[in-house]
Amino acid sequence: MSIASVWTVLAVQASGAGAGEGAGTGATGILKGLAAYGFWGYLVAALLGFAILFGIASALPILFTWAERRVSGRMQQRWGPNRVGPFGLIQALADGIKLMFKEDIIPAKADKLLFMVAPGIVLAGMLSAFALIPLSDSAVVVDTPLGVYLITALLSLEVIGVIMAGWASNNKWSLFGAMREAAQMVSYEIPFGLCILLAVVSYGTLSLREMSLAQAGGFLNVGNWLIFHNPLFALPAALIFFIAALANTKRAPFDLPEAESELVSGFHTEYSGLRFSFFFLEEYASMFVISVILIAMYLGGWNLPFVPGSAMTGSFGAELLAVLSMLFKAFVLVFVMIWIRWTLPRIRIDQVMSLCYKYLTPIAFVCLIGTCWWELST
Amino acid sequence: MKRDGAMAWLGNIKDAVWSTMVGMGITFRHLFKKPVTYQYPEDVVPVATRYRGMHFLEQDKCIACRACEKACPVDCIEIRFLRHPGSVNEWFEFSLDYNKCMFCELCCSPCPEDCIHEGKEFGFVRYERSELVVDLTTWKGLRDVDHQRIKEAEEEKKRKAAEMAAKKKAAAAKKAAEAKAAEAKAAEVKAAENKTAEPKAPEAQSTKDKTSETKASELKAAEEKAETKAMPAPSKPVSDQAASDQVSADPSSAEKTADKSPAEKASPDKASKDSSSADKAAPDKAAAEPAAGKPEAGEKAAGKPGVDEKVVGKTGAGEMAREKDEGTPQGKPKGKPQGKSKKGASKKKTGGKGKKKPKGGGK
Repeated sequence: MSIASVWTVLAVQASGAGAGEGAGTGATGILKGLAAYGFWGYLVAALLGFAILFGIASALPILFTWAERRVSGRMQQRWGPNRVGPFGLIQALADGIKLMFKEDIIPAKADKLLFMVAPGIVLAGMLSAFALIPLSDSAVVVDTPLGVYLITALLSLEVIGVIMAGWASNNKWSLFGAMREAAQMVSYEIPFGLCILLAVVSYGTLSLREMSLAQAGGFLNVGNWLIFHNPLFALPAALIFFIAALANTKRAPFDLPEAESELVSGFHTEYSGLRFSFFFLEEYASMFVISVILIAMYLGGWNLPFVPGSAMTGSFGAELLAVLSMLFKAFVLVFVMIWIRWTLPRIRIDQVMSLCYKYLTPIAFVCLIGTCWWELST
Repeated sequence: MKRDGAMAWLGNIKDAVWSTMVGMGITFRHLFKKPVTYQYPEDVVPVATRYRGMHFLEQDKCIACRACEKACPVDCIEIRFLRHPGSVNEWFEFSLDYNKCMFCELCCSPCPEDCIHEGKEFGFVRYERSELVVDLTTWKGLRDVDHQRIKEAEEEKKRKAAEMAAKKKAAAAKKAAEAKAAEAKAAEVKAAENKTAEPKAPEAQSTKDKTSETKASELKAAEEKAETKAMPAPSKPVSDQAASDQVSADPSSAEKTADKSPAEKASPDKASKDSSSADKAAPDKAAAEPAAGKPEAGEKAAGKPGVDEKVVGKTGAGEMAREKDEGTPQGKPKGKPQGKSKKGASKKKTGGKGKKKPKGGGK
């Protein structure tokens, strides 16, 4: 069921890509070509895009869970996983296989339909956001003029899935987790949106791909990165976006919906087996998505220092370099997320509110106004 | 520091950023430190030098004195061996039951050779309880070296025995020679004495008196003999088979002597009566009576008081014999002496236990 929902979303987006071509802003490559063959072309493009995305979206969490456990282990002077494969690298794969073979338990008093659909919605939101992120000029499955706007909408879809799961579980802890997620979401979404708005104001476009392209050039090829181009306002805004991103991915110190020391396991207490693994997958995959959004908006996209922007687009090798550059930056940010998780303790829900409303929102708003002034004056 | 208004707001931001940076700095530093985890089965976990873990035995040094076995408060040490000539021990078992062992190390201190130690092995995870009975021997039975040593010891023994025999022979020969010489000398002396004694013959005593006196002394000796044989025997605890043998045999023998003595007495008594030495006969009788009476006490101990002396003596002896044959006392004697026979029984029991569970043919 969850898979089907993912397909539906992706099929819609593939058709969106086809439409985008006509407008002259579309993505490149095979998908664009396929979209020219009408409905069946869209379908094949959708299936192909889904296969690629699902592969990436499943492979990255495997790497990230390994990194998370390994880094946290070393930070606590443990070894971390080191038994399965070299350096325990395929530990997450082993865990995934284990989860697949586990029994899928649905509580007797649970709302069966919602309980079963919830992980699918969460995963669908994350996977469709995956379709929109640009890894390089052409390595983007769907490049719509909507861009970040659509991404924020899809990432918010995940919150609905979480609330669904918490409600359908018919478990007090799950419901607490879900309510916390709802409360947290209305707190962090405002600074999150304001920071996106800041980038949109700076570039005059919603497309992440175009934002990345716009950041090429300048001093040492970093001068046009938003945080260096407009350091006074964009740097704090980038930090606020990062903090809001932590809250968005439900990671410490904002892991209140899960809060394993308070709420057993929060909204996914009652989940087991493959359905649980969907929530797990979503958390780590969305870490990557959020990181890529942040990089595309503030940290120069796929541009590297000392490498002229023209060398990152055009040929296959340049595109590959761009993808690798983007992945490297994303991995660094993911590492920082892991690093923060194992440094800071969880904060209370009222502290989350206080942080988001009293600190992040005003600062983000000041940054937005300042950026408007900056862009008008320069 | 108390702040208010905008300063509090800015201060909070500063605190939050600063404390987060400090915290991240700490975690980052720890990221590059070596993990403190011991990868247990692969890594050797260091333990204190005085750690009391699984024992190890220096079997070369061990002399099988069983001091550790005796010292163990929970009896978890089991030693089985056979001692061969030349103090060579043929090992069957030196096992420690770690189900019982409490690692008190009391087995290690009494060891005269300092050959049992508590090691550093602490892994006592087993699938079966029986696997916790660990044999500490590094070899069993006899090694080639041991065979060699036994052979040497036996040869040595033989050699010594031969030496001794030779010595004995020599000594005997010497003795014989000496004896011969002494005899010759004695003969000489006797001859000389005879020559000198004859002229010095003392005044003649009445032959009757002389005989009575000698007879009396004879009797006294007999009575004493009976006493020594009959008296201590029943009071002696029946320590083992041999002792019980003695007990069973003693009353009859004592009786015999007691019986004998009056019989023996008879003729000299007549003679003494003739010589009107009633005074002398009375103590004899008094001496003879206790001699006969003591065995009676012994028979009473055997369980049938108040029966005729002779019969009692016989049945008592018979019963004892039966007891001995069957190994368990059947007609359990009552009264005071019960303890004695019980002792014998209990001893026998322990003996039986020893046989059932051969702790080693040590001696």
